[in-house]
Formats: sequence, structure tokens, C-alpha cells
Amino acid sequence: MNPSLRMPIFIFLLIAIGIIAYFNLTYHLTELRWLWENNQGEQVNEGFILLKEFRLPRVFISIIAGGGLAITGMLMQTLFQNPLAGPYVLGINSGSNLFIGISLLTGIPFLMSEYGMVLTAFIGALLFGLLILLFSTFIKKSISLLLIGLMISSFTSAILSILESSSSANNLKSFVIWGMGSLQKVEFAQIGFITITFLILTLFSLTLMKALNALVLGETSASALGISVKRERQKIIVISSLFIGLITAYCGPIAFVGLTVPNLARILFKTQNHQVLFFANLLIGSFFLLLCDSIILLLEPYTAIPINGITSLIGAPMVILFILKNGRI
Amino acid sequence: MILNNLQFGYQVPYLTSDFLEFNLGQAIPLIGANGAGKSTFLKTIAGLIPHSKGEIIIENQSLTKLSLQERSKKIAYVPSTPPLIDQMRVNEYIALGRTPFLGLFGNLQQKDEEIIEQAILKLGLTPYKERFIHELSDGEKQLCTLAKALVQDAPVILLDEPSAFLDYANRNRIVELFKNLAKQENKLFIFSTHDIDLIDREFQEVLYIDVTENKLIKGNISLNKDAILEKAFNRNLGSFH
Amino acid sequence: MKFWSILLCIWLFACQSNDNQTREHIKSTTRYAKHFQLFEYQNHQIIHVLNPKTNKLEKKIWISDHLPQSTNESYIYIQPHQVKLCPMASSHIGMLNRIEVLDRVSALPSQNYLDNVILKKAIQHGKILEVGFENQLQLEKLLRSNTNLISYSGFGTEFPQESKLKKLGVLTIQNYDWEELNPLGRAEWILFFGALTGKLNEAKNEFQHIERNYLHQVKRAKRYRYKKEVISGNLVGDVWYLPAGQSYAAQLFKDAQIRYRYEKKKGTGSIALSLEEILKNHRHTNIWLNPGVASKKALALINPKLKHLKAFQNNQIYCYSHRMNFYWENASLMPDRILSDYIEICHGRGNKVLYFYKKIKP
Repeated sequence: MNPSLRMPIFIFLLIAIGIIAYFNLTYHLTELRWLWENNQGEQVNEGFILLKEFRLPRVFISIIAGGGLAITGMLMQTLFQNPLAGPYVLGINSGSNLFIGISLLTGIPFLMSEYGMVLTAFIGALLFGLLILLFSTFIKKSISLLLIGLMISSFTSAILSILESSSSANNLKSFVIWGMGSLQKVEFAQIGFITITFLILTLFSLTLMKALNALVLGETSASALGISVKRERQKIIVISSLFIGLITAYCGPIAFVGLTVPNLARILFKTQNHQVLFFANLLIGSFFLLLCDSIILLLEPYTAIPINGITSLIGAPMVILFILKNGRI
Repeated sequence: MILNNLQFGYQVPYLTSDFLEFNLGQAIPLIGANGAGKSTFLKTIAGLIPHSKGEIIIENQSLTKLSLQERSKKIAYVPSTPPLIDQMRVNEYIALGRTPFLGLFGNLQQKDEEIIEQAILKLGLTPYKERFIHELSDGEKQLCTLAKALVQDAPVILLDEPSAFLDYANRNRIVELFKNLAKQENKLFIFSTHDIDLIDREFQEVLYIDVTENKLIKGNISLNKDAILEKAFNRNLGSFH
Repeated sequence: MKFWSILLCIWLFACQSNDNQTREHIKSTTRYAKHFQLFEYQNHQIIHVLNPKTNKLEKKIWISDHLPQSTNESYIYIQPHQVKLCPMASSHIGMLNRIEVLDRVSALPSQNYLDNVILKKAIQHGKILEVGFENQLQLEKLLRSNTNLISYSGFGTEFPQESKLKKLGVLTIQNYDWEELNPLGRAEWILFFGALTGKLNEAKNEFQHIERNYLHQVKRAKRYRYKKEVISGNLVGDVWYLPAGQSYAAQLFKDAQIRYRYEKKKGTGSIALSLEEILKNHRHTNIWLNPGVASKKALALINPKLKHLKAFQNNQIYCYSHRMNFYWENASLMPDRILSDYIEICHGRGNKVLYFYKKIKP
């Protein structure tokens, strides 16, 4: 795409996000009366509760998770110079998986509170993020880190499969369900915290763009341009861990967004300039996940599809289509 | 640029140099047998490989004390492989040379844009600047890497085998370009090469690696070509003629 | 010559199948159960297990202490007094318990899902071995326990390694009690175990008892004219699964004079709705049955938004989860008890003790 078209496309994406968000907020809400409309005489405005407690958090987390996963995917793809990398390659989410798995499969919750699952997943991701950070201090080439991430994932899934084979059917079921991901668990009251965390992370990741641009040339060339690859890599790990921790905690693992969107963004915008790619990923990621959720919402009367089903179902053919049309990633 | 009593190689030192001084405004080829340490030498000076002893001084500043970013303002390094990048335009690629000068968020300023534009003009890349790197020929790609090194605004530019992927005509042209640019911009170009005939024709001063003593030496190739080649390649090339 | 011998074969074959037909012409003893038939002859019984989906005959079982002289490949033969049984599902244990043949149990999949005290003790004393579930069956242990019959919940597929087990002298029989939609049909499977263990008369007595009690409860429920509404089921991930209109649970709701919004929804399994839909539909529903967990805290962990349900706010959630294993062992045998629990929950004054159910912990 011609660079002069970038701004119009960003604006188009923003408008599209707005329209889909409005649709997802109000679709099929028959009894909706907005707060400012008169609802005296009745104590509970049911439509408004649905909007506030169900739809708003759902739309909100779609935007956050979509954008966050896409950005993390971009960070990983550039760090490893591999379009097949995604937010989960470092094995950060294995931490969430393991902790949630242990707590669900053994039936002994780490933290028995209303937010127990959220905290468990978050702590798991952070601990594993720290572990990987520790490894990264001993490692010169990023590609070794990719291998370590892979090993960590295999290791934790081995532990989990042992736990699975000896856990009760109910516990197993709840773990499998957690693994399917959900955009419907966030509560209105949590929006504030998530927003602030997300904004801080976004701001920090913007400081990585200079290094990412240089890393496209390879690690040696990046160092020759004054980029301390090791330090930048550590920053990327920290920020990715926090992003993944935040999103996995509230939504469980969401497949495919972090892998598809960065590739789409690169193909669509035809650039390696990460300042552009950053916003492209943020917007396309949000747009993509919102769209997936609209489909779930539309199909709800007929059948229920988990979010992970839809993201892969739409994402995979989309990438194939783009590759066929454009030839290059 | 002054190299003083350097010992290359981090854990196993295998290349040394005495006191060597280079003036800006010239291009110097670096020759040596395969595996003698040409790349190690270039990378060490660029600060990509730590060295165990000695000093590198550019414009009266010792490089060892500089951070990676400060160092990259003194030395530009161009690796031997041409850029293999998809979806990147020529001007975007050249702009990466400004990385050491950019702020926290990495945005290009007016001044950066001007420097980039000048480099593009200087190397005649204007018709290509909106094209994608992967669409260019090897010669054009090499010009782009050179442009990137130029915008880095460093007094010293190191190039690892810049002519390896070029055809004969382009090899001549790029070496010619090094000489001219060095003079015009008052920079020091050091580039490694295997092209002895070309060097012999175009240059007088060369850097070579004496394989018997593992030592980096500056010599005059037009005066004692055979001696230099013998030391650099450990055999008497003259006897083959 | 060849021609005649072929003709002879065909004739013999035809006679044999004719013979079968006439022999099985008597009526099945079962009155409610749809997925098995029991034919009683003078000296033996025959059980047919039918596939619930296709109604196809899946297994033919010949039961007699005296094996016939000529056997037929399509049957499996069981000598009820020799049976050493490994019941793979909880409901089987309840039925064996009711006809007092727990001493025939030689192996169990695992004691994790066990409620019965007699069996637990037997496991402790090593009289019953734990052999693992269908797919993780520990063959050596199973043989060591001298088991010769496995009863398992059928899913329309063969038991893993069925033919191999048969060679080792272990027969397998699928059981479709869980697919029965009529509460009494489900309970009637006690006859199946009665026949297999040679306690058919006892099983018949017990079933008569169950039938009488159940019909009595149905009559009792009819006294309550005003039907209370309930919601049932729980979220699984983002989907709320409720029993469909023709399911076992819906039948129980109907018999308990409960108003169930989805009783007209076709299907024998479950229907899937979103939580939003549930909230919209059940604004005033005060009673929530079978959430599958034992406390409100656990519900909040599943999804905090369940708090918006009225039944949650009013503490009117009932489940059997506090004694899950007890429920699974005995519920299919005691639909009358489930019914009386429902009647008490929905119509009672709260002074009667519930049998299976309990209000979940706040």
C-alpha cells in the first residue's frame, strides 16, 4: 500500500471498530433503555444491566485483547525474525496454563477468591516471564530463546497431561473449558484496572519501536546501529509477559490473533516501519477480535461457538488468501 | 583512527596489531587468506566483538569507553550479506542508518530526513527510493547499504566484503565510489576483499594480515606486492607467473 | 452334488434363523426401558441391548447356569452364578447394591468416584482390585481379580480391546441406562443386573417398589396446582446447557409439576443458551436446580456474572453436589426420591429433609 494511504486506512479502521463495537453493544438488546432515559417505577433496568455488565466488558476486552495479542505477536515475530512466531512462543502463557491447570485439575485453588483465576493466571505468566528473562541473560542469539520457550511449553504440557490423567472429570472439564478462551468473564468493575495497565504497557512498548526497526536487519546489524540487542530483548520479554499475563488472566488463551494479525498488518501496509506497524496491529487486532465476537453474538441463537474456534476459523483462511494474493510476507 | 597494540579475539586472542594510524579521507582495502580474521578484525573495531587488550581511538576518543550507541556514531559497519528483507522500501531501509541519533520513540526529525535525502541523491538512488529492497539487483542493494552507512554520519565506515555479490563492472564501480566518497566526505573506508588485481590497480596502501605472525600490518602494495602477498597468503604468488 | 450341498446349507441356515424367531416371539418383560429387552424362558433368559440412536440390536446375551449344547457366535453366554463383575459406572453399583450382590463385584475402575462403604472396605482389604477406566484398563490386574464380566456405559462403540478381552475370558456388556428418558425406564435396568447375577426375582420386587413409590409421588405432585418455575444446568465456558424438552430431567420437572420454560424445545439431550439469554428469560425465576457445584463461591469462580441471577441473590440454588458420588450411584434407581426432593423444593414449606438435594452453601 502506498504510504500516503496509511492515515486514511487508520481512520477507516477506527470507524469500523466504532461501528462493530456499537453493534456488539446493542445487538438484540430489546429492552435497552439508556441510563439517561427515564426508568422510574422500576428498580432494575434489565436492558441496562445487560449492556453494562455483559456487553460493555465484552466489547472492551475484545478491543484490549485483540490489540494486545497482535502487538505481542509483532514483538515476537520481529525479535525472532520469523513470521511463524506468535505471542505464545516464549512459553510465557505456559506459566498461566500450568498454574491454572494445577489449581483446576487438583481442585486446590491457589487463591480462593472471586478473582482467584485471574490472579493465578497472571502470577503464572509473570513467573515464567521472569524465568525466561533469567535465561535470556545467558543467551547471545534470540533463536536459542525460541528453543527454550518451546522446551518450557513441552515441559509444562507434560506436567499438565500427567495431572489430567489423574484428575476428576469435572476438574478436567473446567480446565479444558478454560483453554477454550472466553471474552465474557470480565466484569464492569475491572475495566479501570485493565485500561490503566494496558495504556502503560502500550506506552512502554512504543519505546521499543526503534530497536525493532533495527532488529529487522538482524542482530549484528542492529548492534552496529547502536542497539543493545540483549537489553532490548529483555525489555521485549518483560512487556510481552505483562501483556500475555493480563490477557490470559482475563480471557484464557486466545488462539491465532497474535499470529495472524501481525502478518496481515505487514502484508496490508507493506512496511517494516514498526511505528506504523504498531498502530496497524493495535487497530487490526481489535477489529479482528471484535468481528469474531460479533459472529459469536449473531450465531448465539443457533449455536454456541467458543472464541478460539472462530478466531482460527476466520484467521487461517484470511492469511492464506493474503499470501496467495500478495506472494510475500 | 588509531589502533594501538590491539589484541583481537575475546577468549582466544589470535590477532594482534602494533600501533597503526589511519587518516580520514581515504579508502583502504583489507586483504588476507580465508579464516585469517578479516571479519573478526572489522567486527572488533565496530564493537560487535569485544577485544582483550589495546585501544581503538577515533577523533581522539577511545572507543572502549563509549556506549554501543555512542560508538555507532563513530563507526558504521556493513556486513557481507546483502539485506534480505521483505516489505521494506529503500528509503525506509536507508533511514535505519539514523537509528543512533533517534529519540526514545524512534521518530525521524526534519534533520534526519534531510540527511537521508542527501545520501539518496549522492548515490543516485532517487528513482529507487519508493521501491522495495527485495525488488532490487545486488548492485543496487549494495548502494543502499552504502547509503545507510553514510547517513549514520560516522567518520569510519567498515565494509565486510562489499563486492562479494557483485559482477565485475560493479566491483570496479563500487571501489571507485569508496575512494571518491572517502575524499568528498572526509571519511575513512576500510573494506575487506579478495580482488587482488583490482586492489593492485587502484590502491597503494593496504591492510593485510600476516598469517605467520597473526598480525595486522599496513603496507604499500605498489612497492612490495610480492612480499605482502606472500605474507598474507603464506605463499609466493610471484612464482606462479 | 455341489449344487445339492449348497441348497442343503441354505435350507439349514433358513431353518436356524426361523428357529430363532419363533423362540424369541415371547414378549419382553420390560415396560418402561427402551434400550434393552428381557425375554424369560423356562430355563434361561435372553437380554437384547439396543442402540439408543438406531434401535439396532447391539448385543444378545444368553443367561443360564446351564450352557446349551450348541452355542451361537452372535450370542454371549453368561452363567449368572459364576459372574464376577467389574461395573464401570456408578449407577451399576447402586443397582447391584439394591439386589444385594455386591459380593460379586471383583474389580472397580477407581475408588475416587465411590460412595458405597462396603465396596470401599473391600478395596481396602484387597478383595476388590482397582483396574482403571475403559481406556486405561490395567489388564494384568483385571485378570488377577478373576473378573469375567464388565458392564460399562455404552456409547455406540465397542469396548476397547473387546475381542482380546473375550479371548481372555472377560465378556463386556454395554449398558444404556443413562440414555433412558423415562425415569422409570432408567430404574428398570435393575432387571438387567438382576438377570445377569441370577437375582431376577429380587430385582423385579425392587422395581415394583420403585414404580409404586414413583407413581405415588407423581400423584402427590398433582395436588399442587400452581406450578413454580425453575432454571436448570449451568455455564460450561460461555454456554449455558439446559435439559431439552424430552430429556430425563425435563420429564422429572413435568412429573413434579414444575414450570420449565424449555419443555417444548425438541430434543433429548441439552439445549445451549448464552448467559445473556438466561438472564433475559429468567428475570423472575427464583429456583435454580442442578448447577453442579456445592457453593455460591464456586459459582462466582465459574463466572462472576452469575450473581445477576435472581435465584443467586435469593439463595435458592439446589444441587446434589455435596454428595456427588452418592447421587450418581443411587439417583437412577430412585427417581421417586428425586421427585419428592423437587416437590419439597418447589412446593414444600421447607420442613422436610431432602434426600439427594441440598441448598448450596452461600
